[in-house]
Amino acid sequence: MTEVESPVAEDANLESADLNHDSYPVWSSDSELGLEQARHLSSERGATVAMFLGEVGVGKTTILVELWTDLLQYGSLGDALFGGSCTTIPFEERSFQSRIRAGSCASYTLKTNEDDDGFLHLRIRRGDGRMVELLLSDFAGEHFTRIREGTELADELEWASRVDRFVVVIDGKAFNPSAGSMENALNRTSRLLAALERLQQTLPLVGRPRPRLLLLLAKDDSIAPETRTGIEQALDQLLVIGRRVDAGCELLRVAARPTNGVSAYGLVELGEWLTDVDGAVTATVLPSVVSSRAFGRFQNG
Amino acid sequence: MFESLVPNWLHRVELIPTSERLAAIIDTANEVASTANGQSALGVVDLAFSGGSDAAFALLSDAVRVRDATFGCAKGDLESRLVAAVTVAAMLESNSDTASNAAYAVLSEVWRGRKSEIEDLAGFAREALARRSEAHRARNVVAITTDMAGALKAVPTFDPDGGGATHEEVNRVTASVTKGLETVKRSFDQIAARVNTQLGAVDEELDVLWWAFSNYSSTSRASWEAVPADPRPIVMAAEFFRHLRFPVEPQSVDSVLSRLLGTSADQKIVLRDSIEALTDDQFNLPSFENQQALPVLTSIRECREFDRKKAWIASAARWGVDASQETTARALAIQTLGELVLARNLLPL
Repeated sequence: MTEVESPVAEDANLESADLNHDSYPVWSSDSELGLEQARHLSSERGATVAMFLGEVGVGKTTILVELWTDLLQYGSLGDALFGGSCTTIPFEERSFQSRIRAGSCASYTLKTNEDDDGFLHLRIRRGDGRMVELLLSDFAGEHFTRIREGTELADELEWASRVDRFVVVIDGKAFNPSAGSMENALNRTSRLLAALERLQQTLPLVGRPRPRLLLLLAKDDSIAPETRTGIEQALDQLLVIGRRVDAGCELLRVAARPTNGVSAYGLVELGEWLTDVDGAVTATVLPSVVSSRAFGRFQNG
Repeated sequence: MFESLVPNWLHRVELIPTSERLAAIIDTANEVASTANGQSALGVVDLAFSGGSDAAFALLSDAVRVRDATFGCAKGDLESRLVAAVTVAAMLESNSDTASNAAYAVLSEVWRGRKSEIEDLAGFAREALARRSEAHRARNVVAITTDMAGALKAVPTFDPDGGGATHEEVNRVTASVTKGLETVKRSFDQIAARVNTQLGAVDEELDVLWWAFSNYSSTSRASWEAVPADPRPIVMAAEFFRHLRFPVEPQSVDSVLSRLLGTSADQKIVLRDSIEALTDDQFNLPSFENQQALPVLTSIRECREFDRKKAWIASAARWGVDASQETTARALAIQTLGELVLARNLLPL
């Protein structure tokens, strides 16, 4: 009888896991990946590192949870197919509460504490067949509070200069004019973008892909239609700052877990943006060697 | 210079740009580049281009692990290929024949259509060949640099008030004069070597120019236009090679071959057709071992060993040769010339 491979190997060791096959059984570390584990994973195929920025409660983890849930539920996200994960258990731990709907108790996502800081892994097969390894950061919002208060990004999170994709998550609820917190949210997001701009200035200009930036308006469904025009100006201000970091910066509206009866939206576009990793690398330009002999300098006319 | 580029090259695998691993990889690259011989250099190039050289992987992984015990990559891992590619970059930057050999091997891989995880390698290889070519052929001022005035400085001085020279003193004079003359001889040996190098470069240049000017294939005893188009690039490369005196080709090789090939330089040629049309008397196979870095030479040998039967194609595929590869006549000639130089460099001294 053929032994059926367990879909989840809880006690396996990440270092002994064979991740080199295009498809492998869903395998999991029992916790989110620390830097060392993430480094081990990236050494095998490389990885696109995405940092989700935003203070406590903006919805960073919820976005990740709903990406995971969609991939599990449908096996795909738009054209992108689910190719596996090394962090199924941490994903499930974060998803658990979101799947419970008991009586009046709505689904929710547990807050990420600093003890739970780490990376979640997804392997995605894009529509063109290319495999992409994603390391998605799930770090506590307190880090971003400290960054907003003046700590440099690279000092707070030492891997910041390695990031390929920055996703600044904006809390749509806070931008609701009736909540009275729009000015505050705008100010906080602007400061995070300023920190990104300072980090950007320390990165090499050539030789590797420039990190890209996305402004993600989470909980977009919570914004009432009659108030939308009121917040457009504020979002435009943020886009202007964002485009100083990445000229291609765009705003993506996401309702990962809508409460007003509409279907979720924005996650497919987020998945496409995260896996669009054909950033051009500028090859080194070497000085040409000029021969001292005319024979060496001969050019065929 | 390559050291400054390593953080960019390792970007996809490294999470902390200033990690100890980075320093370990750079140290490893420098050490292996300075100690590699011809064959081990080719193995590292193979690994850098996603090949399966076990020896090269063992060499590199052991060297990295000595510096960073946490290194535990498998041969097929991206990081292993990157370590190999960084080491190749270090080889290409060195001022030794290892740079030329590694460069020829890199260009062979590129010619075969393989890609390295570091796309800069092809440019580095071309630059290394140009630099090494210039180092061998550069016009230099030949001068005696030894200070002859000091050649006999060890001759002892005699006390003017002293008596006649003793036997011991005469011996000291003899020894010191001998030593001084040896210094003079070494100086002349050095200058002779430099003059010979210069004359060799001049002779090579004249031979190549007259050969190119004649527009005549001595092998085929006909003008180049009369030599069939399929084998012409290989025959031309072989004749060019006969005039080369250094372990690296001159920088103008592309221009000279393009001029000789004329309008056919950019015509497409299938490797199989070219190999099969090549007669035994048109090309003398040098001494070499079949290998991936020598795809054209390996193909010629296999074709001959199989008496030109089609089975040679499958046989040559064992060394990664794709006989259906299409290339331009110029690219085939340059590739063949590079392989001939590399095969000669790899011969044991």
